[in-house]
Amino acid sequence: MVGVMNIINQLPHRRMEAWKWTDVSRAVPEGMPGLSLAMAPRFTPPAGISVMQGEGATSDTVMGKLAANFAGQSWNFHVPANTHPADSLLIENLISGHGRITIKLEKGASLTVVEHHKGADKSFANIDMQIHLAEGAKLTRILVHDDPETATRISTASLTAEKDTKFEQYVLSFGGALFRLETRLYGKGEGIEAHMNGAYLLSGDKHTDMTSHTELSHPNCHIRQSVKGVVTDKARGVFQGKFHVEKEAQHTDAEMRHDALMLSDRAQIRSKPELEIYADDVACAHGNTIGALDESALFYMRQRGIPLAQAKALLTEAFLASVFDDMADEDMKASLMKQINQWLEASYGF
Amino acid sequence: MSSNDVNIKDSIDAQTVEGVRALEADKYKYGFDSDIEQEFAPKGLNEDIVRFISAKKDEPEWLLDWRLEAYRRWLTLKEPDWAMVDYPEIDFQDMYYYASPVKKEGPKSLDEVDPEILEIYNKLGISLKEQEVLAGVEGAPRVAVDAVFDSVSVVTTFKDELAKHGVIFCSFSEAVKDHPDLVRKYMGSVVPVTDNYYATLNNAVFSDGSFVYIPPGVRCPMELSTYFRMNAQGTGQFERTLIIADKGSYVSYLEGCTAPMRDENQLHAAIVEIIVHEDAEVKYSTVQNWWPGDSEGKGGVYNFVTKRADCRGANSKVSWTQVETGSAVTWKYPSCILRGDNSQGEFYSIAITNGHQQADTGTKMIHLGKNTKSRVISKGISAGKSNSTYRGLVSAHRKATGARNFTQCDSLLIGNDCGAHTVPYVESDTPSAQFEHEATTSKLSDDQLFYCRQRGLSEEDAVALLVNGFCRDVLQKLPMEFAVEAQKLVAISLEGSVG
Repeated sequence: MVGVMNIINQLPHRRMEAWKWTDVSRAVPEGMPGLSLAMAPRFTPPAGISVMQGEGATSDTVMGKLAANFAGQSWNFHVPANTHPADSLLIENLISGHGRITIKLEKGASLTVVEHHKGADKSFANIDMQIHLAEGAKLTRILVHDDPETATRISTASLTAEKDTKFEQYVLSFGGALFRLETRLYGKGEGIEAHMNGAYLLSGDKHTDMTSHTELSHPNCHIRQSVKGVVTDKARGVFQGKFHVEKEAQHTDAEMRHDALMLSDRAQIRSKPELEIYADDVACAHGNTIGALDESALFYMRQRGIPLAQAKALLTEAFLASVFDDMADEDMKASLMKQINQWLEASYGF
Repeated sequence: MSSNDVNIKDSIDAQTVEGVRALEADKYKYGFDSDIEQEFAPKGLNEDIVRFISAKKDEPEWLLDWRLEAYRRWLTLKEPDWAMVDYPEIDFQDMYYYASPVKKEGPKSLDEVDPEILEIYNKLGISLKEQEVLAGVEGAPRVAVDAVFDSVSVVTTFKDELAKHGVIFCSFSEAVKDHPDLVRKYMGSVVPVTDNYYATLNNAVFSDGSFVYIPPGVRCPMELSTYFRMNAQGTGQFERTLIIADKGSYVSYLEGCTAPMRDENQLHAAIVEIIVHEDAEVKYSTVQNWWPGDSEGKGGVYNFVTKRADCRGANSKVSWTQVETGSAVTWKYPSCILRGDNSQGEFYSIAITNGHQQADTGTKMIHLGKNTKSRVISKGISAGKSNSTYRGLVSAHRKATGARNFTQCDSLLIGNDCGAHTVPYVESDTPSAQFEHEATTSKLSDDQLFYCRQRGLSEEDAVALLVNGFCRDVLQKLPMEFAVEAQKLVAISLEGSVG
């Protein structure tokens, strides 16, 4: 068992390349609540799916190892072959401490997971999720994050995906003192399709880091990734994405985008969209843009009688909306857009 | 296609593949060895060697102190390992740090220059226009060549013509003697002594290099050109280039490189510092074709270079253009510090790797001043078992309002044993900065090929046309004097391979 004193030394820091813009060890004071405790999440599984505690899959990330150390057993979910639960698996109460969750989808199964990440003042939360998708399985993951300005949270999900699997991820983050969402996708078969979208809206002193690592080693995979962010006040948005395409992964079609809007002089954006390609017949691309709202569009709208604050909100909403365009669940989509609108109203003040 | 080791796609024609192969080390055209008497410092590196180099060059005390301080700091530094390159550990004690061709009395005119050196110019291909210049042909184009033969500049031409305009173009050692004030003022002001491992090493043991000063308001009457060439076995080459463009001046500087073939890896750790004052402009072009190692990946040059330009004044501009086809391992990031308001930085690059070559190259655009602009165009082509990486940083300081960057990096892979990678860092601290970055890794567009063929072009012509359009972005930025050599190196390897 690692002691509390020790854990601070083990937290990732900015001298580690993958954490250069998200220094966890600096954000965590000694004795922060949750630092050496197990988390007590609340699960609402769909009919027919039950929660079991057990060994769970192991993780090789720094934070995953810490979770294994302090969380104890993993919360395990198992979806049998060709089962399609009508309801989502709802995960809540991820307030503080370390938690481990393992989800297994057997052949042809499908599941939607909805996670609400919301912490308490000055709390520390570290969630490690291990997901396995067997051939033809389909997983949709929806994650909403909203922490107080003093809470630190790291949420890591590692997926192994076999042949012809589908993975969809939609993330909406309103930031915390430090929030890192890390998604690691390991393709273990042909024909994987993945959409990994996310939006962050940050005000005050908040920090959100969306990091992803996609590793493909089989042909004909199709990856689309779009992350959009809005930062104001002294907030800081971080995007790190990587496509690693092995030479066996011919005909990979992968696209990564990160677009960020900066609304204040003190806000910051850090971005690192990375490609590592060893296959010669692929179409891989990434794009990254950073800028402010379009002055001429604002002018046009004001000319038409729309007040400045509303014009800004409208433009920002339009900018962000595309992230959730492809969501199948219309109710969920409406709920996410509503939260975005509330943030815009609060930030633009109308 | 009758290739045994590379799996070639249909869209790339055989000629191109052969063309690329021709670049491989076995057929390395510039791989010859010339036997010229050398004067060596003993092998290895310690304070005595540093003192020896300094004494050999008859340097003032301050420069010896500079070297010693750098050497002491270097001992405390660790070799960087973040680049995507992999090479056996370098034994810094197993190298010569100083070699100079034995000087005859005052080689002021060409007749007095060792005929073997002239012979090398021939083989180097200086035979284009520059050789006429060296041979003193009437009406030859005005290109000043400061040839660095291993470590000491041997011939400097057109110095008088340049002097008439007040332009100083000489070897670094001469500058230390004749213009100590300028050297002391600017040396190390862009790349600090302990900037990085290799730069620090260079500061301790630098052999020679070029010095350029363009006075206020002067448009340099000719393009300045330096040929670097490593010759003695097992000698590292540590040049320093210092270019100062004073207010409202302009200069175009060319650097071209070839190296002889040999078995041992050669270390090359140069520093290039450029200072650009108000309204001045510097254009720096490089063609680098050092020995890449043989087809087994044995030998080849290690090219660990620190190049940086400081746009100090308002409205200043610097433009880096590079065509990188050589070296076993390249580690090079020509950068621009855009300090002055409205200053501009440009980086145009073609990097071709083949055989077992590894290149980790890119640029840094650091926006500090208001309304600063930068543009990055990088084209990478990997073939054989090589790896090429674009690594770049674009950053805007909070006060860099109105900063603007456009970055485009395209990569292409020929064959299935190579890799192409992109690692861009983008950091923005001001909402009024506008940064755009795009990168693609792909093969030639089938649609465009189809369109051209539909118009009656043969597949080969179609490919040539498309590729020509593709690399024009970068090639057009090269000065005329360089275009021929560069196109020779690039065209064959680019043809049919980029989309």
